Formats: sequence, C-alpha cells, structure tokens
Amino acid sequence: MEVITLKNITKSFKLEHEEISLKNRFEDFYALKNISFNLKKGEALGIIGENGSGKTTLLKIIAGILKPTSGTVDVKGKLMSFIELGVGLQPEFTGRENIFLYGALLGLPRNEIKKKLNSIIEFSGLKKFIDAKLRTYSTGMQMRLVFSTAMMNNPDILLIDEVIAVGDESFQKKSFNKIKNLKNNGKTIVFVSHSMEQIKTVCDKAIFLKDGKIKTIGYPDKVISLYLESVYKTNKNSIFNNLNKKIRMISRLKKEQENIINSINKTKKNVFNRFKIKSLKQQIEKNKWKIDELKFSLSNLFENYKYVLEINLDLIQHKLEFAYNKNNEGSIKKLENQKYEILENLKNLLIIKIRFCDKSEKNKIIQTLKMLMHEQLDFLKGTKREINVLKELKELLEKELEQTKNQKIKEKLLREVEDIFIRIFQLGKESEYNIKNIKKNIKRKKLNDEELEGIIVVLRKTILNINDSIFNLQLKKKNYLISKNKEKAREYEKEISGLKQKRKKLVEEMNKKQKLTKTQRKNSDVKIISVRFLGLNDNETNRFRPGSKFTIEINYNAFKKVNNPVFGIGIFEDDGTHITGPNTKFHNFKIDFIKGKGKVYYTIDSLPLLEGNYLVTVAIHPYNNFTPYDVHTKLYNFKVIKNHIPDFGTFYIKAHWRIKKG
Amino acid sequence: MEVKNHLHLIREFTIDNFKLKYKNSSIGYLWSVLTPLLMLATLYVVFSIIMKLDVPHYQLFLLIGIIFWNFLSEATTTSMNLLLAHGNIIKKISFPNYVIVVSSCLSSFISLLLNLIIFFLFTLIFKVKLTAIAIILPFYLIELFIFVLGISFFLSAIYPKFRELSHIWSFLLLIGFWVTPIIYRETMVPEKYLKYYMLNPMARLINETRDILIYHYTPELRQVLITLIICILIFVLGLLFFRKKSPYFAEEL
Repeated sequence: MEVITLKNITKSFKLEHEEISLKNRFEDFYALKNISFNLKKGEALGIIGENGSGKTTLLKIIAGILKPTSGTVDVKGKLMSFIELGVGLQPEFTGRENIFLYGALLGLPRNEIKKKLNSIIEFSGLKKFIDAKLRTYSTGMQMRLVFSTAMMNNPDILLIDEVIAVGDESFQKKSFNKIKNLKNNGKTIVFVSHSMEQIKTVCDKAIFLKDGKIKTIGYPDKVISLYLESVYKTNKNSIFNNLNKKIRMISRLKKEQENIINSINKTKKNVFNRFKIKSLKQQIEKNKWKIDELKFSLSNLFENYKYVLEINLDLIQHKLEFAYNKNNEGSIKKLENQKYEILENLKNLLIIKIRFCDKSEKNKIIQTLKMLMHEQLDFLKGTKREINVLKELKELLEKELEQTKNQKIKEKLLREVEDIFIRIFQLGKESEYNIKNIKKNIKRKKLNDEELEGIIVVLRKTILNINDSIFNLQLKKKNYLISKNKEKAREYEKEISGLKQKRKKLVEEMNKKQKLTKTQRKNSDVKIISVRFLGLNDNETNRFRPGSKFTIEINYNAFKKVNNPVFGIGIFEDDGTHITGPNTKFHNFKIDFIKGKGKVYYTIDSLPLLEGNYLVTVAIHPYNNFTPYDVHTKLYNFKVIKNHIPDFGTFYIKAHWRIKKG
Repeated sequence: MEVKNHLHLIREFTIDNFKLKYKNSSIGYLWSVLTPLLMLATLYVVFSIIMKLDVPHYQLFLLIGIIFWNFLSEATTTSMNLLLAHGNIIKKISFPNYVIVVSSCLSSFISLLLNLIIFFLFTLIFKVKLTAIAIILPFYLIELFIFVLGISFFLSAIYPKFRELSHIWSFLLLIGFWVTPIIYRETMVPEKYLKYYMLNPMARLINETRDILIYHYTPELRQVLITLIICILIFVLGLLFFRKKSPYFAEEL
C-alpha cells in the first residue's frame, strides 16, 4: 500500500532582490523541480544531498508545512515530522512543563503525556534536570527532551531531518536504535542524514537530490556512492575548513573551561559568592555537554569525509586499472594525480584525527596512515615531494615508537625508522635529519637497551652514509682540483666540511648513547666500556702526528670468566677505506682468559698515517668465531694533523730514496 | 480526534501565553486588572466631574465600555505579531496554525473575565442590583470573542507581508474608540447618523451588555440577531481568509 505519493512536485520561492527597482524585484527560485516518488508502508527512504539541495523543503512539503507550487502530495496516516527539534519550546518553562507543551504541539493529549511522563523522562536521561528551566539546558539536552517526547507519540509515518545528528554519542545511539525499532515495527520513515552508515542500515531506498532535482533514486549503496563521488568533486578544496572550524571551537571551549575553573578557584567561598560559583559550575556542566557534542559531530564529519575519500579512491583505482590496461598515458597521468590528491587528503584527515581520537583508535589510524604513506611513496619515487612524505612517515613512526610498550614491536619500528632515514639520506637531504629529534627521543624517557641499540644502529648507518658521501665528494673535489676548477672544488670542500661537522655530532651522539647502554647492559659476557687513544707518555688525545707513538686502550669488563677472547681493531679512513684490521689472534697475542675489568693496549710505535680523520672499530669476540661479544663499529675517531714531514696521500711509509745519475 | 487535539493544543497555548505574560512582573495578574481601573479613574474624572456628563451609574457605564474596548485593542494588537513571533514553529512543525491566534485571543479573554469580576464588585459597591436578564451575559461575551477573533484572523494573516498595518491599525483603534459609545451615550449621536453609527458591532455589543447589566432592559430579539449576524460574518470571513493564507505562512515568514 502506498503511504506517501508525490507527483511532479515543484516548489518555487520568490526571492527578493536587494536592489530597489520595482520591476523584477522578485525572482523565482526553484527549490524543487518535478519530484515524483512513492513509498510503501513500512519502507524507509533516505534522502541525501548537499546543503541547499532541497532536502528540507521536500520534507516540509511531505509534512504539509509548505504547499507545493504545483504537483500533488498524498500522505496516508498519522505523520510526525522532526524538521527541527527544539522549536516551540519555552525557555522560561521547566523541562517538565515543556514536555507537555511540546507534546501538545505534536498533537498528544495531556492525559496521555501524563501517563507516559515517566518513561519520557527516563528515555531522555534528564531526570536530574527535569525541573530546571529549559534555558539552562544545552542544545543536546533540549534535543533529548524533545526527541523523547516525540517518540512517545505513535506515528505511522516519520519524517526525520538530521535531528539525531545533535546531542552526544550515547543519546545518538539510543535515538538511532529507536528509529531502527520503529522501522522494524512497520513504520514508514523518510530520513535525511549526513551519516551514510545510518542510511545504509535503515533505508530500503535512497534519493540523491541535487539542485532540487532527483539525480538518482534506488538502492542506498548505489545512490550513496554516486553522491559521494559528486560531493568529492565539488568539495575537495574545502574539506578541511569545516573540520578546522570545529577543532578551533573545541579548543576555545576547553580554554574557556579552564578559565572558569580558575575563576572558581580564585573566588572566595562565602555567602555572597555562592550564586556566582553556582552559575559558574553550571557553565562548566554546559560546556562539557557542548564539547561532547562538538567532538561527536567532529568525529561524524571525519567519518563522512573519510568515507567520501575512500569511496573515491576506490573509484579512481578502478579507472586507473582500466587506463593501465588500455595504456592511455594521458589519462593515467591525470588519474594518478587525482589518486595522489585523494591520498594526500585522506592522509591529512587522519593526521588531524590522530590528535583527537582515543588511544584505542590511535593505533589503527597509525597503521592506516602508514599504509597510505607507503602508497604515496610508491607514486612519488624520484620526485621532490618524496622527501616530505618520508619525513611525515618518520615523524609518525617516532610517534608510534613513543607509544608502544611491546619490545618486539619497538624493535620492528626502529628498523622501520632506520630504513626511512636511510631513504631520506639517500635522497641527499641528510641535512633534514635532525639530531635533536633523536635527542628528544632519548630525553623523553629512559630508553631501554633495545631502544638504545636501535637508535645506535640508526646513527651508525647514518654515519656510514655520511662517510660514503664524503668519499664521493672528495673524489669529485679531486677531479676538479685536477681540472683546476678551484671554485667548484671549494664548493665541494665546503660541503665536505659541513658533512664532517655533522658526522662529528652524530658520532658524539652515538658515543653518548653507547655510554648509556654500557651501564645498562647485562646480557652479554664481555662489554667494551670505553676506548681511549693515547699518545706519547700514554696521555689521552685524539690528535696525532705522523710518526708519533699511537696507542688504543680498550677498557673491557667481563661479567664472567671468558676463555680465549680475541680483541680486534679496525682503522678506517674518513671515506670508509679499511686501512688495517689487526686482532690479537692474528698477531698471536694469546689471552688465556679474562674476568672482571681490564685493559688491552694496541700500540703502533710510529704512526704511519698522514693528515686526515680516522675511524676506529673495536670488537671483542671468541676465539673460534667472529660473532662478537661486543662491537663498537666506527664509533671512535682520531685525527692526524700536519707534520713537518711533507707528503701526499694517506700513509707515511718509511722508506728511503736513492738516485743513480748518469 | 482532530478537533480534540486542537482544543488540547489551544488550551496548552493559552495557559502558556497567560503565564508568560506576567511571568517577569512582580504584581503579575494584578496589572491586567489595574490598567482598566486606572483608565476608568481618569475618564471618570474628566467626563463626570469636568465635562459633567449626565449618565446614570456613569462609573459602571464607563467600566463596561473600557473593559470591552480594552479586550478588543489588546487582542487585535497582539494578534498582528503572532505569526512572526511563532515563525519558528510554523516553519518547522506541521500543526494547525489558527491555534496560535485562538489561544492568544483566549488569553486576552481571560483578562476580560478577570476585569468583569471587578465590574461585579463595583455593582455591589454602587448598589446596582442584577436582574435575571443578566444571565445572558455569556452570550454577549461569546459574540464579542468571535468578533475579535475574526478581526485577529484578518490582521495576523495580513501583517507578515504588510508591516504598515500596525500603524494603520493603531490609528483605526483610536478612531474606533471615539465612534463607539464608551464614554458617551449613543443617544447623543444625531438621529440621522445613528443608523450607520449602530452598524458598529462594538457599539452594539457594549450597548446591549450595559442594558442587561446596568439598566435591566430586555434587548429586542431583532437587534440581538443583527449583532449576532454581524459578529458571525466577521468571524467566518476572518477564518476563511486565514485558512486561505495559512499554507503560505511557512515560506512568507
């Protein structure tokens, strides 16, 4: 049985122009054009469309509030409309009085309301406030009152215009369940909502209104995806404005809340201030409601936008696959750009969301974000934007690192951070890497060994990478020197010294870190506690002259007896060239066992190295294999400074010359 | 069912109107009684002592006129702004709009009834006895009510689109006050104009009420019927006009 039948409904309003000319002062504005549909008993119809598309006008016409300009409306049965809840309430009256007033407006007789009063109040959850004046209520509270009252009426047809998009989450759920119940009880429902979820769950049919015309009518899924596509096209630039507005409002309210609390604390508690404090407290209560409401509508907005973006992403993906198959390069490029844009929007949306979501949700969002970013990175390979995304990803990972407590996950994350950083580095933007970030990470919390080691690994890799690039630059510099392009060479020189500076910092950082781990480490038998460079008379220094005495002192600590340990040293040039790698085994220096603290010395009587920066690796490993008890890879460096012995190259090789003339 | 709901709604609205009217003043309902009394005192001093009008029971004579006229002027004046004031509900809830006008008139009518209590106190003070004919007073009151309601329907439906009406109406009320026998007797009007003069339903209602309450005349059936017809005519026209306009209120406001 058809309960609602609309035939060729057109509604026009006269719009008054601002200009004062008597001719053509009024213009017809068509809010609805040729709308026809019908609805059977027990069916639910969802109306979707952007603001100003005529949804509310359509509802008002069905409700009989507006008269159509042409066409016929036929409605059978008792109809109740929720075009806007809360109108008709009397702010000066109490909640209870307003139940009667609003009930009367909806056509409920007084004695019937009396009978149901308790269940109305119960449903609204406003028992505490029911005898307070309505003007002290928040909008959400008013909605509760009104919705509860209205639901007690027993209509056959319900028209619902986004009314349940107000109030806080728990009440929303309650109201929405009530609507679902009504639908299950065979009520006919016309439902306007911005929540596509709700429409999907409740409605059998949906209409997509655009500019007063029915764009599509049919199964909700189909209509919704068409709608969302169109929404994205028109709104892609303003998505964030709405969100930011709400966010700003929330933070403003929170500030206000703090101010009120402060002023309550400042106010002396005496008879004169009692009212003031009371009203301030009321204000706090109200703000709480408001914040809850805002948060809820914010999360709704998020969900909607997310939904819009995801659906559009799907659509573009399909189109892209099609384009790939056809190998249509022009459209591939266009679509890829679009896809990137959507990914970017989605990403930004989620980044905002992280700031405002629960902890439980956070992890999920972070995972999604990571996926998104990786997807973006695939796109961006070799472009300028790649670095930005990488940085964002790194930040995200660091954030995640901060939150996770599970060791294994932490290790995994550290590895990820490391990879990302190496990628950033490879892009030649190592300067973007901020040591301070790592520092912060360390200061924020006492890191445990695994974390420290993870960071050390990152640092080490970073240093190695810097070494690589220094080497490359030096080569280039040399080439320019040979070709006598001094300017270019100087440029490279500058760059090189910059990198060296950086490396120095990183090494310092790593040393510090290393020291931290050393005191905390327990799971290894032998540890390298420190490494010192000793010069003449065993004074500690890290500056040497070619030909001078050079000693490396390794402080170790064996926590238990270790038989036949091998101490190894590696000396590297700045650019990573391995100069020498002696160890006690190769040199037949046998150590039968070590236990407790001790020192091992490696001395070169006459250092055969020329001016330059050198890195040192120190390791202790068992006699039979190279799996170290402990290793400090290129953690230490020393410098060889200019000598009176002039020479070129790396080595000072003791030799003598001869000449035979004739 | 429908009508019952409407009545229910009218009652709810009327009570609210009346409550709200005096909600924020400390003497509350007293004001609705005090205003006509103050007016009575002024007019009495001017016309009985200074102008020396010779009308028997002039205090009571004046009071009836003032009470009736006050009702008319209060009800019609408030009626003009009614739709605008209730724009929110009209635009958003589907309900019988006429209820607003009826209940507003009714709450003015409650003031009228309160004033009539004062009137009866006065009859005791000035020792004017009521006779059996006074029993038909409710009939006149209903006539008065539907007449005022009819006018209110007109005014409230026109006002949203024609705001100048409020100025015009206050001017008309001023003229009406003087062409209605409130402070003078209709017998003072020259004979040749009297026929037209008595087309004024307010003049008829006030006169006939005075006759039954103060002067104990039994009214002529013919005159009573003419009054009734005029009142019903205005009421019905007003109602029809209002109903014809009401589907467009939601968009006009």
